[in-house]
Amino acid sequence: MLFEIDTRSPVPIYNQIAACVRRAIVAGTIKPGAKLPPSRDLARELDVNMHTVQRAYGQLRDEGLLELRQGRGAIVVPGDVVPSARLNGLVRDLLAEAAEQGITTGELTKLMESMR
Amino acid sequence: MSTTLSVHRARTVNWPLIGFVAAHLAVVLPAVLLIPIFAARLPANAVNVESYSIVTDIVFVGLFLLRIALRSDDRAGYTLETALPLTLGYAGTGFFVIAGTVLINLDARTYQMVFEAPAGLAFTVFGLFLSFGVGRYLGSAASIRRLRREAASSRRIAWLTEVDADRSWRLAFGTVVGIPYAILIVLFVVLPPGFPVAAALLAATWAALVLAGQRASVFITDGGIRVSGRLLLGAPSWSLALAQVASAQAITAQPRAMLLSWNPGLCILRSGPALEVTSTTGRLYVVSLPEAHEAVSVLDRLMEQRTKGDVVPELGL
Repeated sequence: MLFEIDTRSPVPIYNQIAACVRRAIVAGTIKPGAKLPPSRDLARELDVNMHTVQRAYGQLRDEGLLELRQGRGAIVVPGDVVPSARLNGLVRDLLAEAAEQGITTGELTKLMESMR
Repeated sequence: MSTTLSVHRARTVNWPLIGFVAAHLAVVLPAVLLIPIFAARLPANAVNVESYSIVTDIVFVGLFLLRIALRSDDRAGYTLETALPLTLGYAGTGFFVIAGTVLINLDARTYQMVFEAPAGLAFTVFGLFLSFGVGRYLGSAASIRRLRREAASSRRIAWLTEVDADRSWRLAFGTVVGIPYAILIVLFVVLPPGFPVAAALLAATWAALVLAGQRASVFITDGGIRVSGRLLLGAPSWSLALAQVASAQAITAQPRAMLLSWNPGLCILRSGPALEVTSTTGRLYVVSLPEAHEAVSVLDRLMEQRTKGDVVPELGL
């Protein structure tokens, strides 16, 4: 599985890592039940802290996309997770774009409410 | 001019060799020194330990020195990332074998091999895993550092996957390892006074190695490609910086290609798709990979990125 991050981006690295996994799930590159790389390996190859990767995996678990099992690592949840993954991905991309333009989450929420 | 060149060449040839021998001796010698230190408390024929150590060490060191000497390209990298980790594992195991033998024979009336006492066996097995673990860790750290130096960009790319051995690998590996094991087992049984326990242990180890199989992790990053064996004490493992990659292609490979091959760059764990990387010196590296085409695409784009400098193409995989 491919991971791509930019350490100079204003988007936190753990968000970038989580976005890579979301994109892979939506694109079908990784299938339900597939195992993600161990956080230690991924952190070493990307030259980031292991806790950063664990935080990304934790975020994806909270979103219902991953299962984190002791001794078995991170596994993409079985079943169709594409709709929620797509929505999560869109929201994350929107937040990242807003952050790059200096728009806060509060301002973005107001903007969205004004569009209703 | 020619004098400067020859001195430089001599240094690049000799340092890895000297470092290899020094590392081996530094680990084994302290244990060998235990024999004269405790000579008064050891049985008369405990000198067997020393002869065992010297013969096997000469064979091991000689083989690796030959391999290092024949490695005209990337000699220092091969020594640091492959030969030294293995020699640390081997020499470390030798240290525990000799030290364990001395310890279990202290004040004993008759000489006993380290494998014949449960405590000695446990001590040796612990030492084996510790030594190869430390060697493997240091070898990985060296190759990761080298590949990371290659990648200086703030944009980092990593493509990771794992591959497991199949039945065809077990057959090929069982044959390759089985031949020297069979010779050793016969020697243990035939040579007086006979070491049936050691022979049985060797046979059990061979069976366990074949049954356990092998797993390898493949890492492709903006620094290069690294293959790391997960079991069997970390072998086979290899790495190539992106600057050393001339081309990559998807091929079909069979584990039997490893039979009688001296190429340490072969990590063929399955019959089927594999990634073949040709280095700038023409050396071939192969790793079994069901997603070989995807890996080729990633490598090609990373090489393109490197050629163009800072321009990072979208991988879009």
